[in-house]
Amino acid sequence: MPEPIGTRSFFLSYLLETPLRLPSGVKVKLREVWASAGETPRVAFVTVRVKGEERRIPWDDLQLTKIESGKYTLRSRSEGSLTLQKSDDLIQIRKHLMDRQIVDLDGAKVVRVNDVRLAHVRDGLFLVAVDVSFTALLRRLGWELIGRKLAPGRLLPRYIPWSEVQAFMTVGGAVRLASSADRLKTLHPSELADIIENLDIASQEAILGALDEDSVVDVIEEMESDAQVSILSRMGVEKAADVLEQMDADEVADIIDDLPTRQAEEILQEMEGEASAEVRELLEYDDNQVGSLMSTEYFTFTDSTTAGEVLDTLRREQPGHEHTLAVFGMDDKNRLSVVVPLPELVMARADAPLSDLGMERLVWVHDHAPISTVVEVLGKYRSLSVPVLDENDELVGAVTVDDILDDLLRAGGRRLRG
Amino acid sequence: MTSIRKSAWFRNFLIFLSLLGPGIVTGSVDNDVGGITTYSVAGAMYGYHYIWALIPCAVVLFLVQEMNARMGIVTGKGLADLIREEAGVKITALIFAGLLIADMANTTTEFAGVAGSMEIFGISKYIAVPISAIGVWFLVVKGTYKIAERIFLIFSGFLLCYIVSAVMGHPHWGEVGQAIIHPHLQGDTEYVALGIGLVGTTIAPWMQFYMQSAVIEKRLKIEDYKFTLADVAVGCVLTIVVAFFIMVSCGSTLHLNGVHINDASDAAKALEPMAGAVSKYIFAAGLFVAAIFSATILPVATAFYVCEAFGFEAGIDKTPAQAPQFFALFTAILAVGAGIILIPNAPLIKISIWSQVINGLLLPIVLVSMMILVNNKEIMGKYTNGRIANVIGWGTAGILCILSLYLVGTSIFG
Repeated sequence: MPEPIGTRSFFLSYLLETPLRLPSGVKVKLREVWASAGETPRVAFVTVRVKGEERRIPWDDLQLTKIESGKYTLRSRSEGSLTLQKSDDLIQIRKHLMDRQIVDLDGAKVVRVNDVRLAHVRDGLFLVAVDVSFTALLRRLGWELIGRKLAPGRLLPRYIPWSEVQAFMTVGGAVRLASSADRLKTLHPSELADIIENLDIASQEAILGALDEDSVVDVIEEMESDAQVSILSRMGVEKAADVLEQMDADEVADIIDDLPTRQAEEILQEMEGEASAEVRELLEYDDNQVGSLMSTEYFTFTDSTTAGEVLDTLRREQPGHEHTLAVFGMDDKNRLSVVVPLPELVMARADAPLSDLGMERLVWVHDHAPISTVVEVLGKYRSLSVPVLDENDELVGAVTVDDILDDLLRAGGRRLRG
Repeated sequence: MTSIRKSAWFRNFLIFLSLLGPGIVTGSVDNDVGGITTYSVAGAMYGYHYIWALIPCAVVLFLVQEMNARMGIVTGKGLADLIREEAGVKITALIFAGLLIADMANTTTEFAGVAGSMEIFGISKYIAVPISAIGVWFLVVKGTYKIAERIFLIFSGFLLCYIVSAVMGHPHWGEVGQAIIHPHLQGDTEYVALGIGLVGTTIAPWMQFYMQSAVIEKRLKIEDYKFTLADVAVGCVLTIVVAFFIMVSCGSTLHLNGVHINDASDAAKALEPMAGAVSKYIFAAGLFVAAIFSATILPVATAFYVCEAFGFEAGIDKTPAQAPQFFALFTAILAVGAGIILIPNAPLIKISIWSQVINGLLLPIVLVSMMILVNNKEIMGKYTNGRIANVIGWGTAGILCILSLYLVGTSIFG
């Protein structure tokens, strides 16, 4: 049992700096500190190298004594045993944590570990927090005291408790999460997207691998387009097709367009017939045409349907809000006759037919028209959703304010001025 | 959106253009004021007899940058990240302290180029240097990565004006060809020192960090590797082509007339009586472009990889509020670099020699780190170096170690 007085908690950097004195009198430096993975990692043993041999010494055989702040002595009661068995399921605190990037779950961002805090709790030594402060860097360079003198009271550690840390570990060449992804899954998809974009490739894959397919779709939808392409292209055709099938056709078309030709074709063939056909149609449009931007998911009803019936249908279907900003009424020849924005639908009498609602003037745009037209229309009529017709005046899609907003943000407005 | 049915080669060409960048930008920054000076001096002193050395330089440059691109693509981590993770805080701090000092000195050299070239156009350095520094600051802080990169690509084209300058000197192409086919070797210290300078200016340590970070910012994938390879190759060729024409330009004029020069603006001035005033102005314009170009990239790159290594937010797509350390560091390097030039009688030649010494010490450290990292299976998986790449890589690292130690030795004791 290690001496607890003055050593209730300490930094890993001090432990790694302190020479370990074996019973034989040999002094060695710790090579690695091993802890169980999971919610409360407990230090199990350390490894040292004696005469070219890797030896494992249980933590319980060690005795750590504090001399003064930052100075310790470390003795072992045993010479340790040769490390024969693999310990892939343990966290190697030095290799997997020190200097590595981790996810700060509370701040929802990627940070680098500068030191690790260990503490004696009850009957063992546990990994309790990581230190991500600049102070920790100074500490490891041996400049902490100088720094403290130069900036008194300002150089403090900045801890992230282990419960708020998502770290990564390598097991047999693959990278996986060092603790369960439960807490990670509570983050908003847009936060997760940000985090993944800032991580290296192996860690990205570890996180995506821990999420279920629905969450993966949500997260990918929130990513920047270059990151979407980068991740999907590494996913493999089958998995990428599964993910893309669950996304809106217009977004899929944007992504497919940025993929290398062969891969794009393979993914389209792997996707369900209906989904890929929709995407292929959208891919025919030029970059600056309305068709490249429109959504192919929208609601149509015969224009004799009443507002109440329409709302009942929407309640039943529970579509995403961007598909319900307006519904379209069709006449008996199946031509678009009226556009009814959702607010008007909600406010209307339940028995009012669609043909009595909507603007008197039917406003629409052509699928091959330049994008600037639809921007103009949305601005001029303050519409939320504008129907798109093809050259035969058939309804083929809708452009919502959402689509334009995405486009504004993604292209920096470049395409809109055309 | 472009049609997926468009012909494959056209599409691939588009992909190439959109990926174009990291290698070409790095290759162009390579021809900075220090580079132009070295090439001019080599041309003036040895005529066409040093041109052959550009070929091995190009091979090594290509090899080193290819490794950086590959590491960036496979791991998604910057070189600073990788060194920090594998070598720990102390070695990282040592490397980055060296890089910071060397790059501040290099930035000073770039502004010396701004001052020298603008004086040829009759503009005082007390006007040219502050305006350039402020312009560079705004481009980086207020501009976006896309705008900056496009301006840089245009700049890269500008460097080709050295071709014009060379042709105006009426070079003897036959002799140039002879000099390349039959390399001329000399054993004296001056010749060797200039050779080391040539290697040192072509393969500067900071470039490795820049290259790898740029590959990651572009989110290149392993499928893009062949395009990236082309980009790196084009960048290397561009570097060497510009160096070649500068050497030819100075070789066919200054060397024949026995003119000795100390820096690149000397070369521009000396060109006038032999190749005409236009040639002088073209040479000076090229120098100015190169100086501005590198005075932008160097401070950004330095600030970027220092922040990367120590875990601060960084990137020119961020705002100063999002990445305060990054912008503070960038501003400080720029201010120091431009500021030193404005001090009357500043010891510019000493600064430039010391920056070469620090670069010379760092280069082997960075190269050896790179060779270790690129061969680490846990990091690179199946994309570690092949045997040939390793032989050339370690050979190069070894030769550069020896050359750099020699350079450092002669700079300190010679």
